[in-house]
Amino acid sequence: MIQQISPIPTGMIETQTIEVSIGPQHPSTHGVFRMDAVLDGETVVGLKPVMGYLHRNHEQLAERMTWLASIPYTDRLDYFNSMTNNWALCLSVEKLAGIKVPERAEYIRVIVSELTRILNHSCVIGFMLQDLGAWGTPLLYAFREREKILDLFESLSGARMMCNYMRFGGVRVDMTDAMVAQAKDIVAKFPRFLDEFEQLLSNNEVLLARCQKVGILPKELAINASISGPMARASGVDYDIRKVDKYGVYGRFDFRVPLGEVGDVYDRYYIRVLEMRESIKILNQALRDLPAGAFVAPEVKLRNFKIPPGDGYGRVEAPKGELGFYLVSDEGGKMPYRYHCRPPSFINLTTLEDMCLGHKVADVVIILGSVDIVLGEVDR
Amino acid sequence: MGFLGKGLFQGMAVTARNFVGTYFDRGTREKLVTYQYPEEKPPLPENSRSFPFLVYDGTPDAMRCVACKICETECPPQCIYIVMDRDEKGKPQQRPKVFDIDISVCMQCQICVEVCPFEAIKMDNDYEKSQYGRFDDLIEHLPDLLKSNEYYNEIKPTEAKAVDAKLKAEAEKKAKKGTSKPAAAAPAKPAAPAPAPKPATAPAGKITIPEDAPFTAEQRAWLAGFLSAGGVATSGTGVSPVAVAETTGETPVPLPEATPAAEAPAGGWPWHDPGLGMSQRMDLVKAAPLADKLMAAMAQTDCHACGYDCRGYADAIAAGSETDLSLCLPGEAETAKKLEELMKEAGKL
Amino acid sequence: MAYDEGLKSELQKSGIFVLPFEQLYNWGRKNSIWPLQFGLACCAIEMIASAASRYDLARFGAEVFRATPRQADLMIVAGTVTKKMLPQVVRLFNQMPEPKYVIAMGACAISGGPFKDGYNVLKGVDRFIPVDVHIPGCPPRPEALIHAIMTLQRKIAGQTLGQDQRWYEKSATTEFPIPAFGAHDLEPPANREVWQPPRNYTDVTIAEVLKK
Ligand code: SF4
Ligand code: SF4
Repeated sequence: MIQQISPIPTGMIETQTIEVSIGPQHPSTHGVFRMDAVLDGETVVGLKPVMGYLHRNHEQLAERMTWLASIPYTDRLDYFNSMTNNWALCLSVEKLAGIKVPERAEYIRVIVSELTRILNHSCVIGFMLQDLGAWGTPLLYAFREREKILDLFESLSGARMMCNYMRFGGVRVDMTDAMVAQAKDIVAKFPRFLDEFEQLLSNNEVLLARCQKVGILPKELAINASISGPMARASGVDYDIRKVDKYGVYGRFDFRVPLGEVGDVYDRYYIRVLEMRESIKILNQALRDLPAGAFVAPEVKLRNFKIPPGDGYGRVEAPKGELGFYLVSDEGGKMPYRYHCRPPSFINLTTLEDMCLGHKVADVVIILGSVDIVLGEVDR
Repeated sequence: MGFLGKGLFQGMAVTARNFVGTYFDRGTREKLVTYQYPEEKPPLPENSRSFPFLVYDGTPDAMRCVACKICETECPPQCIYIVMDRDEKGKPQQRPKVFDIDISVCMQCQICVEVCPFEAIKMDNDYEKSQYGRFDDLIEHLPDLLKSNEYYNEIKPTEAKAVDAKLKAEAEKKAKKGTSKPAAAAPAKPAAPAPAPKPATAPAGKITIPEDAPFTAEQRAWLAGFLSAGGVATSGTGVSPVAVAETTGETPVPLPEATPAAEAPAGGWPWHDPGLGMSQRMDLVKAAPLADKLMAAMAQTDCHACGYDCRGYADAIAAGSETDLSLCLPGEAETAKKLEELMKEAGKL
Repeated sequence: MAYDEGLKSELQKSGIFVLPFEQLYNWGRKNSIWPLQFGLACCAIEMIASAASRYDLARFGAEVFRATPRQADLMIVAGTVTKKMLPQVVRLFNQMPEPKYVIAMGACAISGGPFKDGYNVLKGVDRFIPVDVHIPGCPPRPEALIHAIMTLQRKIAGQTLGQDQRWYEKSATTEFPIPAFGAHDLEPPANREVWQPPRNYTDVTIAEVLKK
């Protein structure tokens, strides 16, 4: 692991690289994550991510319980975005079992997922600035907006974070008119907050100095390492599963996919701001067109739900990237024979070393912050 | 684009605006104001959930739970523990003897509530549960879990009303389907699907022979058939003479057809009474076809734990469409063993 | 320590406030509990939410999240403790100065919670470090965390300046053994000084309900 980047001229003072272990208990590692950094002075010459401190056996547990019982566990994968996690599992099961989802349920799913996306992105920006040293303020503003969305989620699903909201073939409870009004209210007010947020941050000289040209991820590397989500788009890879797969009813909405040019930390920050604006567009359309009707497919049983043998992969564009579930059902079909989760932040993390090499230690934490990891998902 | 430090000043303006702003918009929900928590509790939406509790109607012993163990099997982290109550003779009592929920394991997923066919378990919204101890304080037992229907109505008005209406409709339907005898319309607990406490309470419209009555097994079987066809009630069955008089007019239905949704014959299946013990039930079906025998081996709670009702499960096994004999949860090992025995006897295993 | 309540209120009327030193000391301690900034999983997000402006833990003097254990009084174990993370958790606890307190926040920290069947998940952090307050919930709401801090404050207020506290004893060690992976699993599997498996457990049956 130890590399010498510049040979030391003979006769001068001899220097040594040192190995620093950042984490697993560190304020800026977003949970229990460790980086073994090799430093030459302050410059990073090697960096090895160490994972597994939050390995909670999600996949193994899921192979021992019914399909339904896995849904609340997906909430705990990426604990900011329980709604999109639910959707990913439900989508793969629906594919596998050939269930048709009613129109209204599809719209509700889009609404809650896009709300989740703006929730996640604003919090990620808050956390990233926390790592930059902007203690508190942006994070507190982001959490204030988060509370508003969580209020809606709580009246909808009963819980703030672990919604356990989607069911195979639909959603668990219907969205009442009052909730739709509440959602509309949030969506109407959010752009103002976003303008304010941008005013606070986007032109801030400190932010520009710290973020521009730091942690560049080249486009080719992003593609080769199968990076997905805002991180890939910040590097200029035009890949959004909402556009590629058009799952659910995403084909019906008019929105654009913002792309970055440089692929540095600032691009990753700004892509998220732009994506929030696009999400608002989708939300406005979805709330406008929300049809009446059933919110769950009536033929799907809650208990003794069985799936004929086969395998399937369903994926959604989670706020962090491509979240997919690969499921195999065998004889009996009561529980998965194999259950595999493709977590976006785990795969996005693989390029961490490439982005950090040559930068200072202080930059490592913001590069990590801009990757947007959640350890529940990285380690599962 | 301006001087160096402009961005910083802009940022300061934003923070200043927010700082002052909170004083001026207490009404709108744009800038949230701190909840002074212990004094001022944030309003909880109706759907809000914390931990499960058991609902009872009227008095705590009239709980809706029939100990069918569906929630125990479906709970993802397996934090429910149920033991069915039995009297000294080992007869099931249609209520739990022990019902524990380890709330330190519960993941608040609400799946137990969704799968319960009896509307017996519901989600509370009390979150102030911090405790010093672990095993003594955080395992909730029956006395802690039981809460009244009024309480349920208080915390979740809309949902509870819908549940009450549904249960009432069900009770009425049952009463109509059985006989119109006064016992069926028992007004004390309109919402209770299973009036649990009295051990030998027959569901409305059914006539049972008390086990202490001096009959041999053959006599019992005959009597049962006779009674279900609308004969004479033996004394002390708890069925009033009026009821007998009213049942006599009905024509006996010989055998229920073998579909999962089979309707009970007018008098009901005499063995379809969870108050009876296994041997008594088996006595009643001595001469009956296999499907009835199988049905009599079930726990007779119609809890749908197997995915059918008792009739449906028996028919499905008899027809060969269901091969798993261990699905009857309330019947426990006893039923599974009996089913295997019966299938072996019939040469189907 | 006995003192005359009547005399105390009598003096209070004339503007003289008398407090036992113990009460004053505990009053100071309980209103400045500094937690360790230490998040493990999902529950940590709710911990941040309760420190954020809407719930504002600062009203209880507990908002100063310290990044180093040397400055912290309270460890909020917020999230799943895996067997890989456990040695670090115990080490952090060892590094905190006495008197120190632990809140086990959420199902995972108390018992392993939803993941208790997993091979890599510790079934309750109280097996290795003494836990003062347990908060059930997955995750507990921010209010529940505040409620737990108030519960802890009550506990601190009831403590005496005497020999009965762990940290006043000369012989007492603040070093809890740090487990390591052995041939099969963690060794030791639990710290028997702080944790005993429940004994003499008897079922609470329906008879309790019928009695009333
Ligand atoms: S809420 Fe979920 S975890 Fe809790 S008892 Fe019910 S099924 Fe089990
Ligand atoms: S108790 Fe629940 S919310 Fe808390 S860490 Fe465990 S799984 Fe996550």
